[in-house]
Amino acid sequence: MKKNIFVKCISAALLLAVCTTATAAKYKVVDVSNGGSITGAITFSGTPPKNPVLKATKDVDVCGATLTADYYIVGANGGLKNVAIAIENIDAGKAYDKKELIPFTNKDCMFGPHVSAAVKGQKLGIVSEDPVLHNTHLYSGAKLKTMYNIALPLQNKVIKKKLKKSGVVTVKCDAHEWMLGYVYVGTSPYVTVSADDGSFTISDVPPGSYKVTIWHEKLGTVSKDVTVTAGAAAKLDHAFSK
Amino acid sequence: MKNSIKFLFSLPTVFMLALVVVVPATAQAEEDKTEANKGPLMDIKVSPYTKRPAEDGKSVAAGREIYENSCIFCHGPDGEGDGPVATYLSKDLAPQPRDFTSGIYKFRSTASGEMPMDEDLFRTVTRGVPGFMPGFEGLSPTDRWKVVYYIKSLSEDFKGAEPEAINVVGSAIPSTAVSINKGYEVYQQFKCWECHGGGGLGDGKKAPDLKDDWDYPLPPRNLVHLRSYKNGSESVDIYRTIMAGLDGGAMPSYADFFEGEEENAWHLVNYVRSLSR
Repeated sequence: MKKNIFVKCISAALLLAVCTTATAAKYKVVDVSNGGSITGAITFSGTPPKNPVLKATKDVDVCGATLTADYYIVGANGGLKNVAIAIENIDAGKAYDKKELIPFTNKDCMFGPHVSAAVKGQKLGIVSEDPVLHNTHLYSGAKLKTMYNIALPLQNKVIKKKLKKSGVVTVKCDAHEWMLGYVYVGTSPYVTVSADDGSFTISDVPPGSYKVTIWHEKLGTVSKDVTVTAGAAAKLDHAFSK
Repeated sequence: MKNSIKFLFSLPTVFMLALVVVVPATAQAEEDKTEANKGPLMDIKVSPYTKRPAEDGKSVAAGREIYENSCIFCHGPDGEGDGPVATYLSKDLAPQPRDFTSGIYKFRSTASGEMPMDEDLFRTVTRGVPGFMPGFEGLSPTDRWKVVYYIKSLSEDFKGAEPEAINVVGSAIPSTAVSINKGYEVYQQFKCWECHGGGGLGDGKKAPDLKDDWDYPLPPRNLVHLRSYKNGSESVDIYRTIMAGLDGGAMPSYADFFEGEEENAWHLVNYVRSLSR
C-alpha cells in the first residue's frame, strides 16, 4: 500500500512537470549583462489627421463643453507620441518591478496617460480626480470583453486592478462616452510607449533576433524583425502614414 | 501491484493528484490576493430537490435538445442571440437575447470581468429576466442544469475558467428608518443618483446615452419598480448587483469602495428597496 502512494506521488510529479513545460511561455527573469538596446523614433509622414473635437454631453461644469481628442499627437520632425513598442517573442530577460502601479487617472473627463505600457500581472492604479462619478471600464482584446468595470464615486482613492491578459486593453467610461484610453500589456518588460517626439528606447535586451510590434490606436499594428547584438543599439524607426 | 498500476494510469486519478499538488502552489503564488476572504460565499439558491447531473458530453447533448425546444427562438440556432423572435424585438432597447458565444454575462455572483458561476446561469434560466425573458421553472431542475451546460459549451471563455463567488460580508439588516437613512447617505455619497436619479426614477444626469456593449440603449434601472430589477429584487440580489456590477452593461462594480464597510452596502440595499412603490 505504501508503494502505491509512492507510485501516485511519482506520477503526480511527472504530470506536474509536463504541465509546467506546456505553459513555459511565462516570463523568466535572468541576468542580462551583455544586453543591447532597441532605439529609434516613430513618426507620421505627411499631414496628420485632425483630432476631432468632442462635445461633452454631461457634467459640462466639470468636463467643459468641448474637449479635444488625443488620438494623434505629432511633435517635432513628425514624431508620433503614444505608440506602443513591444518585443513579442521573449520569455527571459531583465528584471522589472512586479509591484509597480501603472498610473491611470481620470482628470477633467479625460484619461491620463492616454496610452500606457505595462507588463502582464502588474496592476493599474486607477484614480479619479474629478468631483463627478466616473467608471473605468477595461476591455481586453479585439473582442472588447470586459476585464473590469469599476465605479469611481470618490475622488483620489486609488483602486488597484491586475492586468490579467496581455495585448491591447481598451479603456472607456460609460458615463462619459468620449473618454478613451489604452494600456498596452506586454508579456515581458520589453514594452514601452513613444515620447512626445516619437522617440523610444528598450534597454537591456539579451542579444538575439526578435519580433517587435509597433502599435497605434488608429494607425494599426506593424511587425518588424530586429536583431540585437551585445552592447549595441539596434535602430528601429517607423513612419506611419494615412 | 496490478491494482496500483491500474490506478496510476486512470486519468481522473492522475488529474486529481496533479491538482492536489498544483493548487496549493499557485494559491501561494497569488500573494497579491487580498486576505479579505471573510464571510461566506455568495449564497446561491438552487433547487435542493434534485441532484445536479454530471457535466459531460451526454448532459451537453441533452441540454442542446432542450435548448432547441425552448431557447432557440430567441437565442438562435448557434446561440448567437439571433433567433427568429429576436427579429421582432425592439432594437431601441437593451438587452437583446444574449449571444452565448460572447462569454459576456451580466448576472453573476463573481467579480467584475469574471465568468459567472454555473449557479448564476441556473438562476437566470429559472427566474428569467423581468420584462425580457420568461423563467423556465417549467423545465425540471435536471433539464435546466443540462441547458446550463450546453450554454457553457458555446463559449471558449468557460474552458479552464474557475469562477469564484464574491464573498458576502454580513447579511441583510432589518430595514429600519435608521438603516434607510444611512443608505440614503451612501446613495448620495457614492453618486448613485448621477445615473439612477435623485428619486431613483432612472433619470439621473448621466442616464441619457448609456449603452450596453452591443450599442443598444440601456437606461439605468428605474428603482421604484422593484419587480423590474433584472438581476433580482431580494436584498441579496441587490447586494450582488452593487458589488459585482453588470458586465456588458454600464453598471460598474462598487466592491472596492465598500471594502471594510460592507454594512453600508446593506444600508444602501434597504434604501433602494424603500424606493419601491
